[in-house]
Amino acid sequence: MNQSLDEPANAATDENQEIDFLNGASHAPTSESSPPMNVQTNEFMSKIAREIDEEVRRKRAQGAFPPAFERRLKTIFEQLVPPGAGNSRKDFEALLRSSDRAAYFDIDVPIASQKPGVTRVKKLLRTTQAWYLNYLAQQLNNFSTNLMRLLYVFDSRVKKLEDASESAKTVRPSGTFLKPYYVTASGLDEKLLSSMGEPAGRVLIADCGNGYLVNHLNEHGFDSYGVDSNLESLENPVVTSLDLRWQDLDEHLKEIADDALFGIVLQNTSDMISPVEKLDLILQARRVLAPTGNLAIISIDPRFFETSSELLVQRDLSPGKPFAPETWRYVLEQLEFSNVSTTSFENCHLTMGYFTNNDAPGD
Amino acid sequence: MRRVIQFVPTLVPGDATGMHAMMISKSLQGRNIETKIYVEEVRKDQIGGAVRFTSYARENRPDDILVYHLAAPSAIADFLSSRGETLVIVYHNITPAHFFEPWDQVAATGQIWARAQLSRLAARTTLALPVSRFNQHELIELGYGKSVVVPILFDPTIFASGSDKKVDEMLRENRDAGRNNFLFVGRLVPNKAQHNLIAALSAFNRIYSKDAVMHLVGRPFSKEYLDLLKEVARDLGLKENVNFTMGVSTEELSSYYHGSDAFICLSEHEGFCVPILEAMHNDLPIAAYNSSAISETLGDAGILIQKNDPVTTAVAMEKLVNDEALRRFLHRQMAVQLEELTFTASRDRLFNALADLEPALRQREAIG
Repeated sequence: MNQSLDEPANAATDENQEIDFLNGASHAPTSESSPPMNVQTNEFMSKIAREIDEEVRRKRAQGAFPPAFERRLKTIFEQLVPPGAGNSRKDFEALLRSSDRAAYFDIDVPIASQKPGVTRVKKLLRTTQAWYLNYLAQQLNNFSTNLMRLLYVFDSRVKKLEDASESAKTVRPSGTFLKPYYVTASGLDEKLLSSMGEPAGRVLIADCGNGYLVNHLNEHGFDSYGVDSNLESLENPVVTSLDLRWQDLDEHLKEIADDALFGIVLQNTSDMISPVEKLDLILQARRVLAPTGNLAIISIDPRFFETSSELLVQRDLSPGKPFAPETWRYVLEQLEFSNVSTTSFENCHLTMGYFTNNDAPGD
Repeated sequence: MRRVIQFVPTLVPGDATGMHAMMISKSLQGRNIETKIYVEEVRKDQIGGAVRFTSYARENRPDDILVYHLAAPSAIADFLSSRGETLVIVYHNITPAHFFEPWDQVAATGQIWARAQLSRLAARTTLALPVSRFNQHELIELGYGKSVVVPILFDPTIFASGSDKKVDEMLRENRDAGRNNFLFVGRLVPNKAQHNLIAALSAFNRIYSKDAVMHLVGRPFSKEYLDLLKEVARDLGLKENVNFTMGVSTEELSSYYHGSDAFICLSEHEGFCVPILEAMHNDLPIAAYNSSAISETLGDAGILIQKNDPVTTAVAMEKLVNDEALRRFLHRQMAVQLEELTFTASRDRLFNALADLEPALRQREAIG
């Protein structure tokens, strides 16, 4: 009989204790006379964990370990890991170049030696075997050159395909082609603050720009941080100690553990991506939101795009169109967010949804 | 009585797999069970008189119980898969290949091969003895039947051989100069994430204006990874603050455990993590990233770091060295956790598990 428990099923009492121990649920011997020890242990360890979290927040707020330094750390690792360590286009190209360098077989064997006479013997061997090695090397080099050429052609074709599929998905508002548009509206920050409720964990502000909303929430007791794929926007933060990170939102969300965030505020690029990407983004956000977490979507009013040529260009070149607040509400309700509400401002809408069920079917 | 024959890749000092096999052997001999160890590779620095596994084919008995310690790819697995004796697998864990891929494709392929061997042995295995519940889950997923968790048989007497004066002095000098000594013990390998330890040290020194030292005890798995660690340390201005010890003697290891302020582990994959047990034995406060089997081994005897970022680790490091109440609490908790992981407790679990195969191993109380 297959049995995956720790001990044979007929050894009852002691065995249960052992299984408890291995579950990590109880590490002190469990008996009726000793539960206070476990309670005290758990309380003490929870207190330590809280103190660490608070100290981390305090130190970050003081700018003791600025985000710029964290970014530098990341850059150092990226520069130093071997080619192919990541899965990016840059990694692939580095690997291709390194393979190209290694693809040439050299028959010119080094003959230097510190031992007397050995150099001469090596030279003799090299000379006498050169005709044979040369014949082999020519064939190998021919093969490897063709293989590398094939890889370069393959790479070029894959790159075209990637570029085509990437531009079909989204036009990132970065570089000189498209400028990001950060929506501002009177009263939006206060409404966001009141809708978030009491601080109960970390809040991510997507497309944070200069960190205005991050700072606003932090000033009111939240532990928030920002992510933006546009480096220029991050260069002049409203407060230097803010935790603002230069990263794509989808990449960032993938790195976050389940149930890790108390709140997420989506804005800017979430308007301009395709409907499929929008849904994917909300699903990712739902995954990382803690039970009872908040999702806030700041969406530009679709009609607002008609008011400036800059916005018109951005809208027309983007693969997705901004959703109307009714559409956002429908999407959030379909994805089991509750108490979905929308507040309208002069040029944008704030849609709030509360996530209460992290074990929904289909997760 | 049936013989218990063990197979391990190598039997060298400092290797947890080999040490576990040695302690099992010692325990079985204490019960007058005939036992022998075979290895894949006979090395110069080998402990004990184990011989190459192929000799077993000439020395076998049909009723032998074969105990195979699986932690790496090995020809032993293929050898045992085609034999008819009762097979027991001690599963120490296989590091996922993706940790090695950028650094050493051969090592990465080896891990994939090891996992394939582990999978193939599932149907052939009568009993599995994973060293942690984390490992047990992997075995269940691979279709293994009966499994019993038997933690590593830890022999605390290894630290009885004394300490190393030079290391003692170096650590004391650091302390006298107000420099904290942080320690991690383990092979320099990407899954043990020594690069994150260096980043955490940088955060600690920067945030708390300190000049602490991180002692990384262990041999490198590859030159490339060692070079990366050295580059990172240099780039962060920590060239003088990271001590790459490479291989150390038992005396030196003992000194590092005795003379350090805290043990920090940010390993991302461990099947058990013997150094945590060693740190507890040496009463060294521990902070460890909550990954794989770490929480099982550590229990409540140290700070479990939930978020693997340099600032959180730095704050945990500061608490470990400066929070007296925490240190006292951890001191008590380490004693409790060590009680759970004593040699005797683990040995009894082993005997109980093997008793169905060899009744002579049934606990004496039960027989009486």
